[in-house]
Amino acid sequence: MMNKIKFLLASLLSLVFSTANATEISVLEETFFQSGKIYVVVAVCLVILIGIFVYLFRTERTLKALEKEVYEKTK
Amino acid sequence: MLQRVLYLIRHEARMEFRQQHTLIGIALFALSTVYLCYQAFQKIDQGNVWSSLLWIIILFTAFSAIGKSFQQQNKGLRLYLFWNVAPGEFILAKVLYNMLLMLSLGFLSFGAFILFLGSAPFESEMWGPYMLGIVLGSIGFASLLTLISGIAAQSDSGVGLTAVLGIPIVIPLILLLNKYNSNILTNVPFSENVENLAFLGVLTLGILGLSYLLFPYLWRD
Amino acid sequence: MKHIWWKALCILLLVYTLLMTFYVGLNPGLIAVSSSTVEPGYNEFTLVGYNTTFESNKESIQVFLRSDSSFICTEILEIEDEDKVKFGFISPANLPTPSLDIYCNNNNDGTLFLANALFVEGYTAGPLENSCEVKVEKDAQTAFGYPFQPRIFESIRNLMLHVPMWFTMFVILFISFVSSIRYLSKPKIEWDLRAETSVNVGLVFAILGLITGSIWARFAWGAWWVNDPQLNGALVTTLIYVGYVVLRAGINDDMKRARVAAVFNIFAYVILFILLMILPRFSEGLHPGKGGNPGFNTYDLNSSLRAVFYPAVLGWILLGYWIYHLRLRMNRVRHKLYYDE
Repeated sequence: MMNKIKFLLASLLSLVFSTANATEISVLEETFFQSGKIYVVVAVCLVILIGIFVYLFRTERTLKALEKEVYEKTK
Repeated sequence: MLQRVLYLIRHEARMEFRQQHTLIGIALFALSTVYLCYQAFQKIDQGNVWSSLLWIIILFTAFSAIGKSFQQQNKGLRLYLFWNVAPGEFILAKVLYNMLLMLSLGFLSFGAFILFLGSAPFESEMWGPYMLGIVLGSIGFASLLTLISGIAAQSDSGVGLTAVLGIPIVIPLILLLNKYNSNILTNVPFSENVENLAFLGVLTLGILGLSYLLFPYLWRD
Repeated sequence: MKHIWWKALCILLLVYTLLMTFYVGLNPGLIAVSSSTVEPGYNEFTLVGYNTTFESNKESIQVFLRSDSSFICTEILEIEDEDKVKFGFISPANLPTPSLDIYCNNNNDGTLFLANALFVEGYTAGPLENSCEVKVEKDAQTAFGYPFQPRIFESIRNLMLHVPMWFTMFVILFISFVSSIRYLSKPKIEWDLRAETSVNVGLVFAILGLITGSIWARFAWGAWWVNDPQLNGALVTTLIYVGYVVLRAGINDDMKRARVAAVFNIFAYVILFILLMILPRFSEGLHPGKGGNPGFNTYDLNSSLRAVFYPAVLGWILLGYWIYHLRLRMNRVRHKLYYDE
């Protein structure tokens, strides 16, 4: 799991830094400039949805712990 | 009320001078930072760089000076003050004392800065307005950071919290100050700059008012 | 489920927002021209449009160049497809300005415009000799569809996704500010729970706003972070409220934590308000409403954008409030469990 995350991070970082040179069009820009930059909207939409769902899942986890405690107390 | 505030300020100063090592420590901190800048930059000719660097030094000096201001009281004294002094008067005294402290530290840094890094960006008519900026800046820092350090002192996790809470909040102040003083050194006419000064004054007054209103809620254990 | 109506409204608005965000078309516009320098003599250029209908409106298409207030006519050489047209013209002897704007006009798309697209090298200043008459049939930007903006193109749709994050954050942080004031005037733990929960939820929206803004900035302005008042304000807001969370974590006593946090919250909110007012004085903005930027200003927020943007803001705010309300109920239960033995 850690390795996977490390690999993902490394590839993401290399993607980010490959765009540091502004004179040439990078892979990143090529992808996102397609069809009038519509993929920027897709990315933004995905980030928001994923963000909100991650937050909801975290809330659920807290709630689960809480439920457990309530059951133990009322037992 | 004024008398009690004055008395508290005197008391605060006496406490501080009794433990001289803290004062000397802070002054040493300011001086060594300036010296470090001198080692790194040697001479600075650009007005805006000169000014920004000076403000960063004063900012960190302010954090180390005011961050301590609620820490060193012992329990008995604290209890005594709590029963005998109104919280509004207490915070006013604290802020005023910190203003005096910051004024001396600000001018100390300013003097050391000129000594080491030279006064190349200055022309003769710039000194007055620039020093006015330092006066207002020291007063602003003192009033803003006093309440923040009061808040941080309530926490159980220690001194470092003043910086965490204070740095984001101090940003509007330092932006205004840096703009004002850089403008002076880059020959922007004073009539355009006076707006920044007005904003600074309003901001400082607002902070003082808020401190006066909010401190009583902190002062309750 | 007594108050189901606003949740239903929230779902309805968000479904409408997401559908319309992707469904409504983008108005036609010009993207680029094959080269930007004009040499003496005869010149040929290819003009690239987006969502245009050059081929289907062969008869009415017209390309002309503007220099100051006079126009140069060009001849259409070839229409390659719906969004590529080749035109040519003889570089005029005298020109009022060296930079030329390209206008393209047809009956379906209306008049499209590419600012400062061409530059004449070694020009002679003087009035233009054969200025040409231009007929404009229809204004492109009045059509139903999102306005076409240079550099932003389709990503204008982000207006319905990224911008409401900030609105939501401010509404939720305002709840926290009010709760803190109420706590100080009457210390009931309920107000503290509200303040804490709303800062928590507000921070989620702030972080989402920062990330999405950064992505959008990268592909519209070319950098992940730019010096812009809105961005600086957003970052400072996030930092201040992270500080709030850190402060809370550092105090063990319950009542003390609530009181100190409320004091900090009120102080921070007021300073933040002042900051957001003075920040625009320190850097030229790239965001809407500031001069000379490739963004969009209030004038460009056309009726079709408005018809989606306002419901979108309301929908996201309701969603934020919904999440906040759930968290609040959870925190109430937790508090009851731990402290009301």
